[in-house]
Amino acid sequence: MSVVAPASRNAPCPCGSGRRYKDCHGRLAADARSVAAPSVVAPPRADPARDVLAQRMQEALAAQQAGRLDEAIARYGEVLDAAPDIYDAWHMRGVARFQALRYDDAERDILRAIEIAPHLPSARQNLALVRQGRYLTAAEDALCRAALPRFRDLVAEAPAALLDGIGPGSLVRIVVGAPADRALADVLRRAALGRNARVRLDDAGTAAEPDARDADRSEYRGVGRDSPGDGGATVLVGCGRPIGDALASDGGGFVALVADRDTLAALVDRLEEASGFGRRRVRVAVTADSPLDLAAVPHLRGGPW
Amino acid sequence: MTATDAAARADSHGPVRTIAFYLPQFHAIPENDRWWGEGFTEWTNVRRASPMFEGHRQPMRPGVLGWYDLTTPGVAEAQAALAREHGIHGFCYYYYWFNGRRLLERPLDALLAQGTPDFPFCICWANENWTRRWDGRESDVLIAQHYSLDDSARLFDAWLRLFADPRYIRVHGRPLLLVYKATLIPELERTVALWRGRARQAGVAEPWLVSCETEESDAPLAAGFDATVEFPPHRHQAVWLNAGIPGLDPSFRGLVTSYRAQVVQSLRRYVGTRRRLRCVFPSWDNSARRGRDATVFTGASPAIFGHWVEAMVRDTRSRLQGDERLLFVNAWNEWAEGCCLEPDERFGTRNLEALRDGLDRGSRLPLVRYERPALDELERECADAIAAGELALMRHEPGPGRGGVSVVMPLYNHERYLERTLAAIADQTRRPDELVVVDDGSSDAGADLVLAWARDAPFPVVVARQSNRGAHTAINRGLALATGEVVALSNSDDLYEPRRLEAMLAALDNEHALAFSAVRFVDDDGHPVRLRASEENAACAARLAGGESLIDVLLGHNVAVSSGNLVFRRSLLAATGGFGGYEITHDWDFLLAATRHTGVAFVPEPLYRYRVHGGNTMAEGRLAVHVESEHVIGAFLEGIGTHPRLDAGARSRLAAIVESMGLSRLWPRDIA
Repeated sequence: MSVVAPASRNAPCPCGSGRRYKDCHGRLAADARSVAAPSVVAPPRADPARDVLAQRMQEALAAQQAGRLDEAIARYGEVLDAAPDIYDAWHMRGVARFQALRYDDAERDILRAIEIAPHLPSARQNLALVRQGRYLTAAEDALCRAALPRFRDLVAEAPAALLDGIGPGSLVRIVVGAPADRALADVLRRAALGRNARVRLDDAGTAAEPDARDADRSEYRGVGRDSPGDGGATVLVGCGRPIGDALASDGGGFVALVADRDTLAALVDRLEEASGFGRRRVRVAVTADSPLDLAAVPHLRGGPW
Repeated sequence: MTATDAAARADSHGPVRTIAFYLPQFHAIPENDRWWGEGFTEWTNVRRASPMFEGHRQPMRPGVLGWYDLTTPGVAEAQAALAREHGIHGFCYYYYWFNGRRLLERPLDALLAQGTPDFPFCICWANENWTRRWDGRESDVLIAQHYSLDDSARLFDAWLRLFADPRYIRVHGRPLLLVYKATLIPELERTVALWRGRARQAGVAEPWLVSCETEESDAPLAAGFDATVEFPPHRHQAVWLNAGIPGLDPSFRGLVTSYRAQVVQSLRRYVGTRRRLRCVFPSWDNSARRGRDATVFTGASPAIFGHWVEAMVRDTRSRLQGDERLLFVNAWNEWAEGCCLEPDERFGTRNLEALRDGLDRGSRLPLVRYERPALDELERECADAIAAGELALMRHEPGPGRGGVSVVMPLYNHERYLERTLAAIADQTRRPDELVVVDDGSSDAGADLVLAWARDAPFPVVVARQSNRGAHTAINRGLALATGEVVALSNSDDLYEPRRLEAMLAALDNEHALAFSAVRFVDDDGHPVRLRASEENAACAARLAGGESLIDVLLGHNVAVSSGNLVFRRSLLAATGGFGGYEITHDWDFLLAATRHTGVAFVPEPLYRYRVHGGNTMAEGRLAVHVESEHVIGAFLEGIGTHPRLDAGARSRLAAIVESMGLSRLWPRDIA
């Protein structure tokens, strides 16, 4: 939720609201710092239990400012478990949840903060930002749906089965999007093996060190630039993991994208990448119980693969 | 063909001319050699960019035009050919002038001297300091812009040669001139007057002056500029996505934001009566300039860009006429800002193709007209439509008129539900005196079903049919045909409770010319359902029942849910006009407008059963809802200062509500 701070806090806020940075996004930073000061509802300092809480709040705040949002959320939760009336904790946890794009949870926390201290304006302003954010997310999804016919030329006519064309000797590379997609990836792996193909599983979760990148930063291990070669396939399972330029060059074989519990926005992002930014048509499939509905685009729904 | 038809379809007011911003910084100049290193051009930065996260589309590399040098013969011609082929009308060159000293002038000067390429152009005065930080800030200034009226006069004289070129783009016969940051010019009004005077003195047409919306300010228009042009991503309301980016380089201090959010913000932007030119961009990522402090838009795709273009072409045609139908694209070749139509290695010509396709489709869409038509215009339009055969009267049995209640029903592909809907109307404890059904070009046999039913109906029935033009048009024509003093709308798939008309009529009085009731959401079989929408609606109804002001609640939600829930005196239409050209939110717009002219009564009893099903236009998933909502609120707020039924206290309450919705940008700046 922070924008890049301008040199002067009196300069217009980069978010485009027209207000000065110090009255707009600069407020969040100010609020975060204000946690160090006693809040409206804090009891007298002499209480050692409150000192512990104050320290927790400092830790939470530090984590939040460092971008470790889940940690911050957990810390604020600890404070609230001990003292459910602290405005700053509700407010800041709401903001952290907003930063993590969890709009409904964020809204609940911030509404609670407003209940506790209705005269403090900052929570109200952040509430507006939460609602805007949620609204925008829904609108983006609607935009993707409206533009879906324009993605048609990235999508291949649906074959009878997703892995049609895969047979003995084919190399099938299965790329797992997120841990939640592993089960589905396994189903596809067995289907490929059932066709006597060779299978290579690329799972970012089991890849080596987190910063396993080549020196020039243009390759990421797990999804290398090599293609499966003619007669092979690359199957992307789940739409959660960006693959960038990995499929940007022309290679043999086909590319398939399987969506499950993914948003439409994630799907079209992956579709662009999977198509090599327009170099090839991609076989798109959604699982039988996926909430996605892609009427405008030819696709397979569910197995058999 | 009716007058409305002619306007919408023939649209003889001229095509939309698309102009792309053109950066000349693709050749070495001594100043850049000195400031940035030998041979520095835009490409130097482009080559140096690095990806900061997985999927980051950096570095960018040029496609078919290669790492071109603009002083190489043939390059300009190739660019123009590519642009022309994809529907671009011309380029807008950035013009650099520092008190008589020009920079990056060679491409433009060559264009003039050689007379080729034969491609229209105009200029934008890039009046900013050149600094080490690419953002015009005070520190590290390489060359500064110093203003004086004298200098502005000399500058204008230098421009006269450009304006005289036959390729120079004109609006109303006047040369089109953009200024990048007009707010930086001191004595702006005098400068504008000076420029206009100078043109007259030289015996040529005054410039058509356009200010780029790089700052939020009304000063340029106030100082005499003819129009403004958007300049995205300036004024973009950033959605901060950094936390959700896997593998984001920990040293990255910039902003990762959403291209789609930018498009949504543009689609829904309320322009009102301003003369504002729209601008789009295919992508944006200034990593090549700012590195770790970059702003990166993710999720860009030619498909989304094409959709945006199509919508902006339609918007431009709907708001502007003739020569003023201009659409700008940022940019032809801002490579270091990741913002270019020119082919790159990843997308090739897909963005150009998307542009051409969007221009083509957008130019064939019917115009959008959100303003509610005046009652007499509405009645005239209906009569014209009948005379031209565009509105076919299949059954005409008008009601008694005076004192009567007309039910007006737009019908679209609801054959399945009609029997029950009609039965509920016939079973009213207070029967209507007339039913007017307007079929909006249904592909099923609903209209025939109504005709058959009408033979034994307990009241006169009028049935008309038009080609598919949208519910708002069907309603407006129904209103024109209705003869009753009171109009009760109804959707063709919804259900009146038996006491509805009786109770709603009782709610109308001298203070209240419009009423609506609580709503029960039901499914295909008529059984109650619970959804987010029904929960929100129930909460709103509770607030109203609890005494909260109607407008306070209405501004945040269409608590009436649907046009079918509205009952009003037909005389109200003389003040409000009919329904505006919103695909979905025309009822909300009508309700808000009505609050200016009458009290609105809320009947807390659920007297209307609203059917929710797959094809229901209320679904949050429809883009039109998001786009139109802002227009509805913007249009309402534009008149907030003169709303006859709001005192200062009510206005400030609404201001707070608008702020809590995150919509302060729609609140008029001159109202407290």
